[in-house]
Amino acid sequence: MQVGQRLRGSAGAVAAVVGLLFGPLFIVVGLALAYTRIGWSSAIHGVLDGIAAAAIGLTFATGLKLLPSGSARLGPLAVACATVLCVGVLRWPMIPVVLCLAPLSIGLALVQGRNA
Amino acid sequence: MPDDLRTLLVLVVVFVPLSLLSIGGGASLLADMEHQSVGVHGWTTPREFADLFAISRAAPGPGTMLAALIGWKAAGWAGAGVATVALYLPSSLVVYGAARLWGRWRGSVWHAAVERGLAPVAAGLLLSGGIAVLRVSPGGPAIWAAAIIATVLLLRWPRLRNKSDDLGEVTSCRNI
Repeated sequence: MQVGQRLRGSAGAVAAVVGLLFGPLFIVVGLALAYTRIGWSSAIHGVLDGIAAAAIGLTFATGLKLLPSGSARLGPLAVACATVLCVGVLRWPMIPVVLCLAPLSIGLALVQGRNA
Repeated sequence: MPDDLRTLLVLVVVFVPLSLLSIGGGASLLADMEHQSVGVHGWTTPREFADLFAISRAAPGPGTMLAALIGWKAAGWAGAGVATVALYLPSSLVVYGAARLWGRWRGSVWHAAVERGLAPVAAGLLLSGGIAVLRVSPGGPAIWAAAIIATVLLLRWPRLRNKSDDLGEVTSCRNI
């Protein structure tokens, strides 16, 4: 999007977004259509389960990488655990949880930044 | 027709707020997308959600084409278009605006605090998203094991990661 903006101004940004979104959109929905036609096959389910497992692994790995390292990590770790508990385990809606925890976490980082 | 229209409106009402809060990229929304489409609105069965998740990750393009698939299940092609725009447009606009502001703040105490403060929340959301998909996936213990093995492998050998799957999906102040 930023590239589109630089090359052609606002119109370029819009075109970049539309192209990026709607190209894949047709491919993905096309795949899903194919899936609903032949979704009964257990081989397909096996393949999809494998892809899902790898993608979940990627999501986990990305999340774990975001965890803080170094000193003063107890607070951020507690925030991450609280997020997992509320959203992942208790299945509370994400929006109020984020609206509570994000300011808290930013405040914590602010305080720690001052002390550092 | 009014029913279809209502579904489209509900898609907007569900996805626009999520879009604005997608810290850490689209994958951080997985948990809530599962909750909304399987639990609250019944747009997909658990099995369908797991399969659509896999399809969305197997295809090229932004990682959360899942929104398009949920919209498509809920209300056909119109639903797919509406859900995609509802998920991407608001956060894109925020990024567009924030990119300018953020550049000015670079190096300030606030800039660092916001970045460091949002990271653990994003981490928690990503882990929750993985758990949410595992919960609806019908693969049982085998898929849990496979997912954990994949996690360990990806942490050990980061080069296995596909660059486009990295955090740089749509939002996150971290990417600006």
